[in-house]
Amino acid sequence: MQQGALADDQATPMPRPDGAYANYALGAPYDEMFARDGTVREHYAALAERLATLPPEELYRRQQACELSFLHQGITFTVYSDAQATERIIPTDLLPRIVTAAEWARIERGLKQRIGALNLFLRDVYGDARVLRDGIVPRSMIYGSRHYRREMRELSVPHGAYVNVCGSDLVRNEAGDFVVLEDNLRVPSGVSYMLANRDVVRRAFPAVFRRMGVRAIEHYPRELLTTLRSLAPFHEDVSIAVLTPGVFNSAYFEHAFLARQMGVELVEGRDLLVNDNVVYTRTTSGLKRIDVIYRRIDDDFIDPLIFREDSSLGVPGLFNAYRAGNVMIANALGTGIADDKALYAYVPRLIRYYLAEEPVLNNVETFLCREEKSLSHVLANLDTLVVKAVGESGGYGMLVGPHASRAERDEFAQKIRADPENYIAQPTIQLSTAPTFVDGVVEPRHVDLRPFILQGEETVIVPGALTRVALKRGSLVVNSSQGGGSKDTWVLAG
Amino acid sequence: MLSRVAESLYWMSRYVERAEHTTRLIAVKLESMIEQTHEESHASWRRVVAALSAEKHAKDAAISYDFTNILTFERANPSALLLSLRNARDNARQVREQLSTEVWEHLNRLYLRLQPITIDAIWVHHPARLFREILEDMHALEGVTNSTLSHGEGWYFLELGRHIERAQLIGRMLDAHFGATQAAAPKYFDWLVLLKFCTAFEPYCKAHTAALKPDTIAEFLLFDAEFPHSLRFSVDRVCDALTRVAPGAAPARRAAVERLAGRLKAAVDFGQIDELMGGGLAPYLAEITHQCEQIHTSLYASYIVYGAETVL
Amino acid sequence: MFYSLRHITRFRYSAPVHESVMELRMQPRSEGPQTLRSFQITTNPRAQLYAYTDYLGNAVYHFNVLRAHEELRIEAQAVVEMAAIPVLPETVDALEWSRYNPYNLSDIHFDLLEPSKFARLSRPLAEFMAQRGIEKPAGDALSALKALNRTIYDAFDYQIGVTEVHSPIEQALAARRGVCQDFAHIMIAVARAWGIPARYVSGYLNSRRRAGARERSGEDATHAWIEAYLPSLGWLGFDPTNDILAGDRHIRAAVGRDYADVPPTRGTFKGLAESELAISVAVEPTQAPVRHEEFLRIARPMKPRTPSDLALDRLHHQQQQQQQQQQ
Repeated sequence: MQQGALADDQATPMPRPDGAYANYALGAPYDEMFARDGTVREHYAALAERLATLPPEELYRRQQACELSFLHQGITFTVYSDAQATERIIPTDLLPRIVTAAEWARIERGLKQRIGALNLFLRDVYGDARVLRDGIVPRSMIYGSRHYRREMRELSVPHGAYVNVCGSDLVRNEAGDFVVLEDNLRVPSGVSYMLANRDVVRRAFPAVFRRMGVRAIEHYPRELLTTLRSLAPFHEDVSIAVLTPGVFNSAYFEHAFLARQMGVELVEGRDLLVNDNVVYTRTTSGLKRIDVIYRRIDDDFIDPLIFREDSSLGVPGLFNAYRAGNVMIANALGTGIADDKALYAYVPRLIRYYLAEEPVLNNVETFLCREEKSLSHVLANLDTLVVKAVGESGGYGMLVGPHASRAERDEFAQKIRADPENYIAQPTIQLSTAPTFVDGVVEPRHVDLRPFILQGEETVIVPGALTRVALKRGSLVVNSSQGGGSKDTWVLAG
Repeated sequence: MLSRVAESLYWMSRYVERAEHTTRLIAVKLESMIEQTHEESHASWRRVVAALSAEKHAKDAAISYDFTNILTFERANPSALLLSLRNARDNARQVREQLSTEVWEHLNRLYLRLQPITIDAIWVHHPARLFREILEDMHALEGVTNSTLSHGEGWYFLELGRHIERAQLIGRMLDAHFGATQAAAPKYFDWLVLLKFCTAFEPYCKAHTAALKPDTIAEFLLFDAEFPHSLRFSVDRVCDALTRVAPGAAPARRAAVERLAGRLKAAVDFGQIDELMGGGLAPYLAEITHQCEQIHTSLYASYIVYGAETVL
Repeated sequence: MFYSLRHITRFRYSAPVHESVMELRMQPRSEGPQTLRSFQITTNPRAQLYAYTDYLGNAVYHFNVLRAHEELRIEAQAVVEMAAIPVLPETVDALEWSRYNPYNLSDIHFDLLEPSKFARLSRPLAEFMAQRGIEKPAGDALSALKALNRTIYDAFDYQIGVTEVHSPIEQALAARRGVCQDFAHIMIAVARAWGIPARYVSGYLNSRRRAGARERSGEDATHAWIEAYLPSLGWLGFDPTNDILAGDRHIRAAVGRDYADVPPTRGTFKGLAESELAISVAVEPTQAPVRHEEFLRIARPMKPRTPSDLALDRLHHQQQQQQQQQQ
């Protein structure tokens, strides 16, 4: 989520009888808890009731307890600002974000449809490439992309599932509809926070949690294990490993967490070797064969024999073992071609093309500068749009039109004209807000929603998600590296 | 267990043992200074330096301040306390998931506590106190290691690291006191300090009364079966741990390292102090150190860096 | 006519290394006028060889050596039969340019129009093209390619050691010197800029040194040239190093977007050591071979198609049917 920060100047404070919400300003964005008229939405009623009885000091105490618990468990990510690498927690907000059963049903249907179409697309671009011949997606977008892995051409993957673990970012627009902002199809992360948040927030509100009928998510590691197992060509004694870049990776905690929760080995590239097309780990008792690898390393680094020669994270010969079918890798290689910012714009067309269905979840309207009509529209409306470079992430190479100066916009227009294929543009969306406990009071903060989809033999979505929250007032940036926090997400049973 | 994990646990433990030993030596040395003349104190420091293999870095050290600084903070000195602790922590970090929260937090806190301190900050007022406190923390670390970790294969790799390191440290300590290399012969007070260096004063007195006889001290530190800082105790722990690690390894791979450990055990079990005291101690200690190194090498060759082709 | 071919590669290491992993692309292709009659690889230390065919149709062998070694020697021997190359017309008609369209080109051609790691348009290349007046092709496609072949031949001296195996073309462009690999990359980049699909060929040349000959490539080495696609003639080989069309002395081993796709050897090892690579290549005309061998050992047979493949087939089938009903 890189929308840049927008101030809610148009927001009008609503007078509230309750002291806790005195500063709760409702504005243009959709609010998860309060309807436009200031009444509490029905599915938040039980929580609101409970909160009304809790003095702010008690809330503060519970918030502190929850943060301490994270620190002690070591649920941290590492920030490399200078030579000193410091470990920080991602702040967890105590107040859960609640999703109704009906909303969830639609999200689940939409995401299953989406991942289905994306997997068919990947099967196609690494196979017959009909989607290119039929002119649905321009060829240069595929052949010119650095994420296109020609090594994957004509290889088949189990169950046709290239993307086994997907984390899609959804946001709720002003009208209250969920739209997809981004698909993460390579090595999506954050699921450990989903589980850890549940652990602490349930303890903070045990009674409300029980009364509201919140659906369980604790079985995620088991579902992930089942998904990974289903990739093996046989079904007994499947040996699985989580492949991590190592302890210095910012998501190391998650890798270790998932390995432990699944009861499988956590390995680094240097623990593995390939002999006669078979992958082994080196243990004190000898070599142990590995059948399925859940890798949290980028394609480029996974096998120095085939991809980046200078990779020391990978395993030489791994890809050939994979090609020979002696080891399965999740996610498959080359999935990055389908979560490219430019390809994103084509996903609704892909859903229609492969499934002959209308998309259940819409995209954010996206203008591809490579298309001439869009280009002129983008250049004429730079002051209202967010422009993103296709190949970049983490907020680099981006223009937030409403916040940029005239000179900045002119400069960016030059860049777009020079290389239109490299840019897309989207209108700025006001993400929905949810009540968040900040400095002793409850205030609205912008949130997104990242559910996790598993696909092996079956497609499974655990009814929960990581809700990321922009802790700075008015900010739309929910990334943890830029002051974002997270919330537990309660999906109601019905 | 992954070989890499075993390796990190092994080294973490070796460095913890080395750090504890260094801390203890410095603490005891600083506390005993008031009862020594300058010359005595200097000779005693030299023995500490020799016991910690820091001769090269402490060549020019003249006063206690220098010695303490070099043995604790000097970055060029690979056996400096701070470096041992950092290495222990770095290894622990690599296998954070294999450790209990208590062990990790204890070690992490210990390092973070010492890391910002400078020699000048501690020197102004009762420098021994810091080392005493760190020593207490190290004992607590050993306690949580034993009480919060499952005593499975990983724990036995910790045992191997601790006792292979300890056996070598005892050897060097005895060499520094009984060897021919020292400047001045130890006096009565130095024997007492030696026992304190090894936390052996009280156990020794219980076994042999307070009559401090060099031969008896050497025998106690080498061959006592029950005292945890004796050579024999460590060798027994090593032999025991070796039967517990790598449960699935082929007998041929186990045999190599277990044979070496058996040989070391025999050398210790059948060692006779009266045979050693007539000039035989130095070669005996050298042989023990050599055998420890061989066990280390063989441990690596069998379980950590073995040629993959040898196990297929 | 028949060629017998011997290609020896030797890696020497300054200290023992272990866990070597290696991929080889040195089996002559069997297509067009070229037929592979026998092929054999031996390695020392000995290793189990595995093989697959990559998406470009190249035969790739790979193996690993676990135990410590200080030398790794790979010897490939092949016998290739070369039929007469059909005589080409001097020119193609002017309409050839208009045949570069989706009806005549397939995905493999479109892929070979995109810039690749070593063959990409850069400012120094654009300057070179401007200087030589080759920003736009002159005349019909075939004549333009032949002229480009000669332009590169004339503009560069053949000299070993100016560039390395991983050098970008800018290095050769700046020095106006280089080897076959550089010339091939430059020619590919220009051809693609003109809209002609072009690919890199790695192989062997039976060189024929005669007094006054224009041939420059070294005798005992692997060779590289290019192939450009002409819709009416198919893939045609050009050898800018020697200013000739690829003919019956050019033995093709592998094709790719550029060198990065087709190095004869690519490998990794573990151990702290420097490595030294030595290569020896001999290509000689020979008598007809006596026997024909099975070349590729399959590591794993083709897998049956998965149900989802079938679903995709069915889906497309149904979509096509619907389109027909609408018409």
